[in-house]
Amino acid sequence: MTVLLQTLATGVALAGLYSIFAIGLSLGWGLLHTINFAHFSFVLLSAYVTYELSATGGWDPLTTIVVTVPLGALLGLGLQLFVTTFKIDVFGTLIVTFGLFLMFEAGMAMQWSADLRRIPAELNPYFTSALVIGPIRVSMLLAISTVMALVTCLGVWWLLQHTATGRGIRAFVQEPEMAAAFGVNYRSLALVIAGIGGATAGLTGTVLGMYLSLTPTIIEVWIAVVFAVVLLGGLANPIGVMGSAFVIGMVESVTRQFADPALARLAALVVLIIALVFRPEGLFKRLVEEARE
Amino acid sequence: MLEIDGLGAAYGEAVVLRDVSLSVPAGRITALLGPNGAGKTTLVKAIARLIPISAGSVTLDGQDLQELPIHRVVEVGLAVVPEGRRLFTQMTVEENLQLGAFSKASRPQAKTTMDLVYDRFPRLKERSAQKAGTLSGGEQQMLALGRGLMAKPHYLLMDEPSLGLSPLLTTQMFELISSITELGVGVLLVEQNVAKTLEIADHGYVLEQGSIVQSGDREELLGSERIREAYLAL
Repeated sequence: MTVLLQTLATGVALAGLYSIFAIGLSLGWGLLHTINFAHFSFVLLSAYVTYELSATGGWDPLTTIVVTVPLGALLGLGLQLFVTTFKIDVFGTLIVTFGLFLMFEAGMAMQWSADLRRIPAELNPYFTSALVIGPIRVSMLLAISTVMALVTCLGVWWLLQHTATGRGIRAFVQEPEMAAAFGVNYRSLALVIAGIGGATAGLTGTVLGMYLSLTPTIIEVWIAVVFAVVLLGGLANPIGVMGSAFVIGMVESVTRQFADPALARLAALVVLIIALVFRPEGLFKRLVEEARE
Repeated sequence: MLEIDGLGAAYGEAVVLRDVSLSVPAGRITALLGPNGAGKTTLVKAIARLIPISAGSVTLDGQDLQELPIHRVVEVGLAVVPEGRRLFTQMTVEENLQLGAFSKASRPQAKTTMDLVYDRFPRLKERSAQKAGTLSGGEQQMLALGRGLMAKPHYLLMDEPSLGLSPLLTTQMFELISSITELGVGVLLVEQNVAKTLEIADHGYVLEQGSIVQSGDREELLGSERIREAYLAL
């Protein structure tokens, strides 16, 4: 019983990491026609910023979100301005942002070298302490990040469903001309969404900066699993992102516990492939389908 | 007054509208008649800035619409009930209405306007939480009109609002359109149903092959040989 509960707790904790990582990517893809490969760079850059401020500046690592969240938002805004100014289509954004990804990787390698960078344990109480509930132990960091993920995804859901900004952007994705005719200014709403997506990258970066030993290429192992969460979750659907992150997190957690930890990521990708064979649209519905003429 | 002066529009090389001039006074119904393919829908889109124009101008109470970005056209008082309705089908009836009042000019009064619209279309109120795409054709047409009214327009462009409606619903739709003018709204009504349109219109224009070939008030149009033969089959 304890083992099962522990497996569940680990799965939920992984789901938290995956959903907060995936939500920004999902928003950009589903609402702004941007497949933002550079999202991974924004996350890693924020992680390094958290590391730097904490390890050399002596900040409590969690408080670095006051820097990383605005930084992520600015990066998201900058990219969106670039994409709308040059009218880059969805496939183009994949190419452009992949280029950005490589540039960021080179830049971060120059700045921080290929050495492992880790916030010293004494400065990182969230990583070393654990939340103990009865027989279950979860890293304090993962507990915090799960709460952050929940708040972020529900906040995004509320914004999309219950505010004029959310309604406007959903309407624009379905019927761009009519939305504009009724006053929807896509450019400004797209900036809001891109800024929010970037801010979530900053938040994710702070969590990973506390969680990982950083190298300029460490983020690459996250690409497949995060894209899996985005695809299964239904584009721009925050509830779907949480659901698919939960499925993938649980598959990993169960594989770690009852089979081989080394197979965990692989098992998650097998689930993705099986799921996409039987439900190519993902496990969850996309928030809004684009209009087909 | 919504004034269209010397308007021209083209799709690539193909000229669709040539030197079209017409005026839509406030509080009146102006009919735009003409056969299929005459360019009526193109004219509506050109007025609403949904397609670019190649010549001429559109001014609304003195404001040149070409000077505005598309999303600001609704703010100065122009709304459209487009051909084929073009609702936000994956959003609820209520959300569609809210979208109608998205602009700065109409959003503050959205709640009161919505009560008025629901009052006029009780059917929409019953279905307020339903996705627009699941409504019947008639209900969708009402929603498209309701969405247009939510913008609190001074001028409303309506493109084939009776298309696909049953005879009973068509009659109701024409009664509704005629009642809109009581709110002071000027309506440009594009219709295939010429007989019914001329019952409620104050004056009208006939568009053929991209040009205005005839205009006049209701009596003049009803008395015209050309209209009686070509459109009323009398």
